[in-house]
Amino acid sequence: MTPSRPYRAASIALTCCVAITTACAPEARREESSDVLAIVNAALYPVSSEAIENGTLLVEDGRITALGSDVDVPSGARVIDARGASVIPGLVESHSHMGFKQLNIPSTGRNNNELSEPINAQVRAIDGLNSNDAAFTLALASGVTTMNITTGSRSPNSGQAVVVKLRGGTVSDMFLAHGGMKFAMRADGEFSNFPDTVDGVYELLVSHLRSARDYVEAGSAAADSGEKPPARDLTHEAFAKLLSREWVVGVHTSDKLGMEHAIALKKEFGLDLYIHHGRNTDELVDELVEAEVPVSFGPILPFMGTENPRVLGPVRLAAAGGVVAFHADHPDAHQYFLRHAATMFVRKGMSRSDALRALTLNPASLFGLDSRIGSLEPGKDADFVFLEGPPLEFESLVSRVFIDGVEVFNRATGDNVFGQRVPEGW
Amino acid sequence: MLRLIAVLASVMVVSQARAQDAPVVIRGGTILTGDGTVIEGGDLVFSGGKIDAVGTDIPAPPGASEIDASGQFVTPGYIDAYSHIGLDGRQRWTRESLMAPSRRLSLSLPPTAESEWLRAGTTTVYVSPGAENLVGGLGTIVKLTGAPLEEDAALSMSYGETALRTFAAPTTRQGMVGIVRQTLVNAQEDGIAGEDGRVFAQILFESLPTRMHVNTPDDILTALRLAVEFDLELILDAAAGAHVVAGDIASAGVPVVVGPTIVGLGDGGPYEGFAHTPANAAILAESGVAIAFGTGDAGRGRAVAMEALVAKAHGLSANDALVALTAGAATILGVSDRIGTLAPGKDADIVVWSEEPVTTWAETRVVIVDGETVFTR
Repeated sequence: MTPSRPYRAASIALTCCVAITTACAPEARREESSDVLAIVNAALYPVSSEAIENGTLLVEDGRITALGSDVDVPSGARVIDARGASVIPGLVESHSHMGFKQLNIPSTGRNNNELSEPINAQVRAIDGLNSNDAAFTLALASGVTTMNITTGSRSPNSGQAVVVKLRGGTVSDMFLAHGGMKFAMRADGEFSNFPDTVDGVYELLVSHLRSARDYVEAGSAAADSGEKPPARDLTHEAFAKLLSREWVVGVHTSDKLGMEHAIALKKEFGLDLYIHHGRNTDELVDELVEAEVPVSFGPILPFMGTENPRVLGPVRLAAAGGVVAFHADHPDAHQYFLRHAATMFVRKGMSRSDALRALTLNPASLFGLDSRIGSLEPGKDADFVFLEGPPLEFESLVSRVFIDGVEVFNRATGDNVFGQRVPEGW
Repeated sequence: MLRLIAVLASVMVVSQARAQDAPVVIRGGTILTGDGTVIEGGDLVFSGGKIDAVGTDIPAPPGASEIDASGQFVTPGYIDAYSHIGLDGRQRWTRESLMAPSRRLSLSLPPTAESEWLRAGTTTVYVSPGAENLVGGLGTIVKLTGAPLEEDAALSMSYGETALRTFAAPTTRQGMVGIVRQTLVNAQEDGIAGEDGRVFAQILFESLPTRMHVNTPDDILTALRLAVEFDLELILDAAAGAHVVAGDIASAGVPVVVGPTIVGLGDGGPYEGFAHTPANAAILAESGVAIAFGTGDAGRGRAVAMEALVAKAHGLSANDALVALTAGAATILGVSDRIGTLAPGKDADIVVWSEEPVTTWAETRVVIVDGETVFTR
């Protein structure tokens, strides 16, 4: 397989342009804007609106400019005939450790968790991520275009996550947004300086949030009075960004008590908060809806079978108007089977459109990115996936993946933007 | 009170025996017999836990009850040919010794009415010792109702990441294989006493299969070399990467129990991840290798049907996928005289499916084991 250099170069050029839009030369922009990509004859699944049986999707400058059954293809556009294929938004994985525990390199298993202290608010995933993890290519083959990459869950607060697009290049090239903070309602009794109960974890997090509040107040008071502000403290600053809702916090919890603590944290501090894992969602549907706490449910396959009663939790939460996302939690679960896992909820009563939303727009919304990615709409990033059939069917393999309007994966040729070998058959 | 319980118990036994003995007709479904035959609008009759007749327009025997399967599909119960179902962590492997050839497993299966595996259409499982021990002990074949099929079904061996991570020594793959080779040489020369020696003698001189859990192309070739050297009746388990050496496996006439393909890559296992592809089964079948599927599941209720579905999505034919779940698996496990096909005289292990089996939305409607209906949706 030849690494697809032109794609990668184009992707990186575009990334720079997007990242520093205001600095882009007007002439360069005009040149790019003449390059219209038209996907025609596709079954379009916009997620945010009804499916379009035989649709056209126009892309310009890395953004979707139009879609519908009645869209004219501008002359000079590059046309891709998608007859027989479905086109869905790129999948958004809300919880991954890709780039930390690296494929084929067992010794990297320990990269995921900073374990010297229980609170690691100053630790940033972007500072430890290896963009060369071969698993990114497999994720593209799974139709994932955006990923929230978070540090591990073995400390009560493992630090700051990062949202990346799988467009190749370095961490900087892939960077899309800050991924917020991670808490973990978990106490394994493994470290003597960590709380030894889940209640203890909750108390520790509460005390840090309160300290951050004091820190902010002291800072404001100092500013008002002209006195010297408190010494800068990155831990306090990070927690303060949760209090101001500048950052979202994802709470790792797999049991009812932990989920209740997460809901309580949101209520006490007004946090922008979601739960990941949420295995006991079925027991707390009303509470989650009332507190407006979204759940990113997973890992699903291979951890649950089709007849597992816990599968009903997300089904009921979605039916009750709650926000449900699905995640794979690579490497705990293989990224590839996330889309397949969604079928388990459909079997138990979730609508197919809700299941597709839980793979795309809903996880995007957790990070406030739903105005930019997660659905096919004019003005949104041109991140989409060709499938060989209806979106959820096992038989519908991912054939092509586009990010920012640039093809980053092609199943037939094996070309991918990471330049990694795709194992036979993916 | 005691007397009442005793009476109730005897009534239950009688009524159960009656339910089992009386003939039942599954009528009007598309019957896939498991060996490749498809009967449209077919009827199947069973009684006394065994299948009596399979065909079309079969008249109902006197006293028969009927299950309407029109518009639905009827298959043999599926076989999960590599699992750890019913084993807790301590049962699955032993810390005491790197090699525990005569270790037998003691299973604790969930009650039939709660079994997620049965609900998903799996009726028989091969339960293997874990891959932690270099020689893990004797695997066993049971129905998920608890009925045993073959107690000492195979000797289980494993080398690769899992075993390497579990024991401090040996420290390498080649070290592990060296130990296996020396042990088998000892056994050939009567150097191993007791139960362990007896089990090794069974794989060397009798027909007890040796199952090797291996997950890279090179490890698989090592297994094939050992099989030739010691004339083992080899079955490969898991076998990620088998697609790379499918021709060698086919030439050696060695069957493969593929999977799980639906995996987590884990903390230390990713090293073997490079060899992992959902096209494994399709490539093996194309090369003429006999295949079955395994989930490797211990307690998560995972359906072997889903493993076959992934393989089918990646090129395995619908027929090959179904055969691998039924007749093919029964043949590899050596129990095809009892299960794996819908044919007169075979155990009445039957699943009625909502739609074409091994498709995304196929769901069990009725699951029958030994003529007893164990699940109705």
